[in-house]
Amino acid sequence: MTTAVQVLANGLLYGSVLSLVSVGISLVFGVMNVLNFAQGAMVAIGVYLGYFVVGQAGWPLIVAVPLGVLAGLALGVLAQRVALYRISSVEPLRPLLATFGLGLLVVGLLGALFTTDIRAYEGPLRGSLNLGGVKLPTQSVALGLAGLAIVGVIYYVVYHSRFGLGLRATTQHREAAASCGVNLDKMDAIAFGLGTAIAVGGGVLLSIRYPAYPTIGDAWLLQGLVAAIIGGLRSILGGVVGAMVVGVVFTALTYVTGNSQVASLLIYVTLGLLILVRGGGVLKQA
Amino acid sequence: MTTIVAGRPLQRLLAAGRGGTLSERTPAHLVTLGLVTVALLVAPHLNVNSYHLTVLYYVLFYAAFTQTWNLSSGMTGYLSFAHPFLLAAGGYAALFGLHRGLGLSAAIALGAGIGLLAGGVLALTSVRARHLVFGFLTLFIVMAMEIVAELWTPVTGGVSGLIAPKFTSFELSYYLTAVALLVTTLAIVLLRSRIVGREVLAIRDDEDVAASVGINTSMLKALLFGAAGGLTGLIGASHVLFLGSAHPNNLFPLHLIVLPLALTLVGGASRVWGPLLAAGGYTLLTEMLRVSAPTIHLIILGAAVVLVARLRSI
Repeated sequence: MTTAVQVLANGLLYGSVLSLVSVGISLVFGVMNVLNFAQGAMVAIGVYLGYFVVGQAGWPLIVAVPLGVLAGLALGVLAQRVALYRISSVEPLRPLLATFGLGLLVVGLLGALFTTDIRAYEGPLRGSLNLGGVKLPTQSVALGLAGLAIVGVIYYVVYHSRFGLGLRATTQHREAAASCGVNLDKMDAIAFGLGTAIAVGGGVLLSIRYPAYPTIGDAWLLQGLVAAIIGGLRSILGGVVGAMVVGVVFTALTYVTGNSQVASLLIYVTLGLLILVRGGGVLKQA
Repeated sequence: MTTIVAGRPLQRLLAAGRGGTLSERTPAHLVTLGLVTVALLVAPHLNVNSYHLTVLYYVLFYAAFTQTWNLSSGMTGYLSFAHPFLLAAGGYAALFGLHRGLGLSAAIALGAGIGLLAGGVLALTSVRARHLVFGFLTLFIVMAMEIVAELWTPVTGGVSGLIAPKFTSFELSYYLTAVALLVTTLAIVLLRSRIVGREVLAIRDDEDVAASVGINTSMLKALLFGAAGGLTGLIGASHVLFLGSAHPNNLFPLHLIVLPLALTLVGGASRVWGPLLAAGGYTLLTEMLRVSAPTIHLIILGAAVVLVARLRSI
């Protein structure tokens, strides 16, 4: 019983970290109809930022994470203008390629600037919490809670601001939103900016537990995509739910099989078969 | 099925009159292909040092790897991220065969055969999934297969990989890759000059319309992905012999997933020489800049992909 609770708790914590990736993907897909393959590379930028700002310069996380969110917002808007501006809704494959290229470019630049060495530092909040027999690493708990907090902030922006109203209207129907006076170019830039902000801010958080290297985002990207697809690729809440499902299933499978790679493989194969059997319906309904 | 015989003035006129520009350049393509063949045969025998030979091999390797992608995905419009899967299938199968006592030629043939089967898997995928979904599934396939390569230790050697049990000459890998490149290019030239090639391009333009006028789209896709799989498997077999081992890091690196797609689209999908020139230029450029920035290949590929997506309709 304790084991089950332990696995569940670990899975939920992992899921809330994963939601940093899946929510960004859902937000961008919802507004722009673009699967953002650059999300993983943006996480990597955040992890590097965390390594230098928190690990080397010694800034507190409470300053570094908002800094990462703001930097990510600016970077995302810039990246959208450079790579994706007005190609979003023309053909589905072009923006997909653009984000894929953007991701490669970022990984290449990170490698050129900081080499491909693995960089880690002794993060804060080491040790573990013992909650009635369930032991949880303090860092995981902090990551999970802070991840949910970031997602919460984005949720608030999307559901309680004028920008957010425009974003949600665009998600519902691009043309209708445009005819009501929503500036689609602006919405695309904001959506991509917010998605990148979550990724970079989340990356700064992740740096306390995970080392920095250029391709660290790849694994997060794939699991985040799976989570976003399970969540329906439309809403922030869907992204969170998908991430929780993947987090718990992944943790449970890793516990049962004793190998996280086998767990990843099983998840990929299951989702792949699901898409095949439903003829892409999983994606189409989104 | 009618075939447009290119080169004869009357037929060329007729073809041009029907708006058929596909077949006109076939003789020129064939002549160029002949010249390329001669150049590839002669190049290793020129008085060059081993560094130049290695660069030459890599130009050939990337060109062939890109051209086989062009044959399947470039012609049909089914953009696949799983090309390294075909390469790895051939490479692992060849070395596995050698370890199990197969002769060299049998092992290479096994590599090509397993590559063909892997291409068949992609063709099967394409029956159920199109466009975005197909791209997405091929990405899952290549990621899943990398994990399989790392876990299936009895066959693939797991994370330590498979060492080639015997030394083979540089010439073997070089000429095998050259054969794969030439055969693939010839196939594209011939396809472009024939009705069947137009049927394939029709799949790319609008598969539903193509199917509704009686084109057997599934069979054509199976043929092209199977052929590309077999040829890429051959390239994989000769590549692991060149490297002396098969290892997940060499057969599934990030840049191999996107390289054929990026270079084909830069050079022009379904074109004969564009993808080859792009691949050759990319290899030489990265080789020249590699010392100053080790991840320069990712920067070049990334920028190329973004540019293609920005500027060109796919």
